[in-house]
Amino acid sequence: MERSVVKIENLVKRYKELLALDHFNLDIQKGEIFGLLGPNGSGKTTTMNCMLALLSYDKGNIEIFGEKMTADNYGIKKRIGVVPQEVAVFDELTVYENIDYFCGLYIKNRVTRAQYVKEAIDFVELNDFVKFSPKKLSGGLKRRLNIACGIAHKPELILLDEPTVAVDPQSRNRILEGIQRLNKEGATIVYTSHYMEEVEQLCNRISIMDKGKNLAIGTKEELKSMVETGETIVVEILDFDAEIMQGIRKMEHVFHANYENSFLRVKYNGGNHNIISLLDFLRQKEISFGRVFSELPTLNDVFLEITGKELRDA
Amino acid sequence: MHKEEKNLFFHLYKYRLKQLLKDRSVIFWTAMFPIILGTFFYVALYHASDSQDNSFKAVPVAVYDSGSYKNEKEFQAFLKEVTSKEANYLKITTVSGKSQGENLLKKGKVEGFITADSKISLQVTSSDFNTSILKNILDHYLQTENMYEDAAMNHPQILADLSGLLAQNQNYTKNVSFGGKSLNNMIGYFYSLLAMSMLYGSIFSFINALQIQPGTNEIAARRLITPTHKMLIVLSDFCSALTLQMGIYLVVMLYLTKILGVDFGGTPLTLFVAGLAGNMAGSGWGYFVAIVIKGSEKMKMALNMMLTLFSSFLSGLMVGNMKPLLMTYAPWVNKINPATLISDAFYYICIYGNKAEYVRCIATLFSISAFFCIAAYFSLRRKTYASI
Repeated sequence: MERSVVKIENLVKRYKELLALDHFNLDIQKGEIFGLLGPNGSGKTTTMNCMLALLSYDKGNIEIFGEKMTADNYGIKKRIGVVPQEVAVFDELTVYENIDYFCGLYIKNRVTRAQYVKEAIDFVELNDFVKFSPKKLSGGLKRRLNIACGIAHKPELILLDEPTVAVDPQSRNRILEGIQRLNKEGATIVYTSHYMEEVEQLCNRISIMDKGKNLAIGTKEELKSMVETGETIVVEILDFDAEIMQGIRKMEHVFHANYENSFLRVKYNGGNHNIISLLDFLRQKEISFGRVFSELPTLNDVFLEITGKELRDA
Repeated sequence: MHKEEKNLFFHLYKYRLKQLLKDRSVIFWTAMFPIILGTFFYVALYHASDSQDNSFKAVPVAVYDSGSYKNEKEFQAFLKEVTSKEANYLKITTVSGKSQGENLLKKGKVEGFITADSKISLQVTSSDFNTSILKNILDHYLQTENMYEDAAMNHPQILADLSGLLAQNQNYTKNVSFGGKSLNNMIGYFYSLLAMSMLYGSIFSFINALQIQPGTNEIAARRLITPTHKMLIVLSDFCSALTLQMGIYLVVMLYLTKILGVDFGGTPLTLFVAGLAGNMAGSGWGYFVAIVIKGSEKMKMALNMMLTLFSSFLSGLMVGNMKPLLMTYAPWVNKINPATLISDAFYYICIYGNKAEYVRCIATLFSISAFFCIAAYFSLRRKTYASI
């Protein structure tokens, strides 16, 4: 049985001189929450729009549920739900009417549709706002409405394009929890974002993208193991000597150290109990220190090592 | 249509109608603005012609009954003819003294003063419609007199024939009945106003068209990624927009006829068909501008409004004699300008009772609508998006 829900092979997309997707490949399995992580302009939304046959592309092949995806393949479209990056709802209709309208484009049976709409409203917890127009909702509530309009018809594959942009933390957590529930109910999720914390929290497998290319794919553990950075220890030191820095750089498993704004940052590429070794060294040198932090590697570290730039700065 | 397809059609139709109805700015331009403007027209213009008597009145003129005049038998006979019941061009007041005649002229009691001393001459104090008539009448007499004198002196053999010819004196105008209907000179403004209202309805189709093109609108992308056929969405949108436009047309007509009491003439069926044709032309226009013309949404909206206003201007909404001017210098414009076709359709059926011309206008409007819709359909069908 075909396990791949989405298969993209060698996808190339140009916007005039700009190469938006550069021989991009993707293989998403059934039941996954798959993350597309990359900075703004990396090609995440372009990938989604090509998958949905909204955009033409120059080269490559896209298959969804084992069939070639085209603009008039209504059989596939019936099984897909999309939550676009921009909130795409009618300001003139109420919350209920918006969900009913969009659900109606998938579900023709009135009775079934009414049931699904009710469930979608319960799912996004907009029961108190059904008669409100979107103009009167906060950003977070609008985003929830946006999600409800995309998932009301219970699709098997859900594409969410940066669904938490400009959303308050409470609504964001609700959205992430909702996505996990949808996955538990059987949906395959493709989630794009430039927020690594969300992707780390949510996704089984992640593809890190930049400039239309797939830089790395794997689980978050697999991705983190690709980089040299293991643990990073941060120590607050007010008075620091260059000689001390030389000594630190010679310590075992240290591959990078720097001192900036009264903080010493030491990166390790392995080893255990690094914090004890470092603090012992500082005590021996009679260096006074304040706060001490230990950070595990993040996807930002992965991105930084691969591309030389931060995810958010890119 | 399959039952489920029908249900889907009505589902989309219902929500689209609701959505368009709640767009206040659009409802203002298509419904409230014509009602407000129509009210102003009614207050300022509709009864302006009531106090005027538009039938032709004989021009009052004074004639100096001098000795010379008494000798001008032919001229006297001529004046008798032009003041007869049948002709009734002049109303003559005979004066015994020159100063009396000049006095009457100065006081404005007569439009001209004729004297027949050494030659027949006319004195006037202004240059207007009535004095033009006077001059033409006198010129006609003097030319005829010269012709006779010349013929008598140089071509006596044709004198008899000449008399026969001049006696025929063809009348090149004939009266046309308005079928007993009263004609308010200002009704043309109301016809142009209705035309403008119908063309403003193109905004509904414009919005519909934007929301089916992912390149211009996020909602469009959301609608196109569904398993519902694009053309079903377009058809339901079109029908809901047309329903709303016809509803607004009905409201505006009811307001003008029942509340303001404007007498349009015509029958309910002919007015309905004219409204349908006009609104469909407006719909097609909106789709065409939104789909076929390349540019940003704002640019296209501005272009749509500008073309609507310009079309209304050319139909005489702002300058009453624009249509006659175009008829003289660019008659083809009147034949294809939708606003002119709409107002002409009303004129032909409501005032002149000319069914053939009415049908011509209606058929042209439907053809315009079909052209715009077909062009928009093919353009939409062929569209793929390199970027959105």
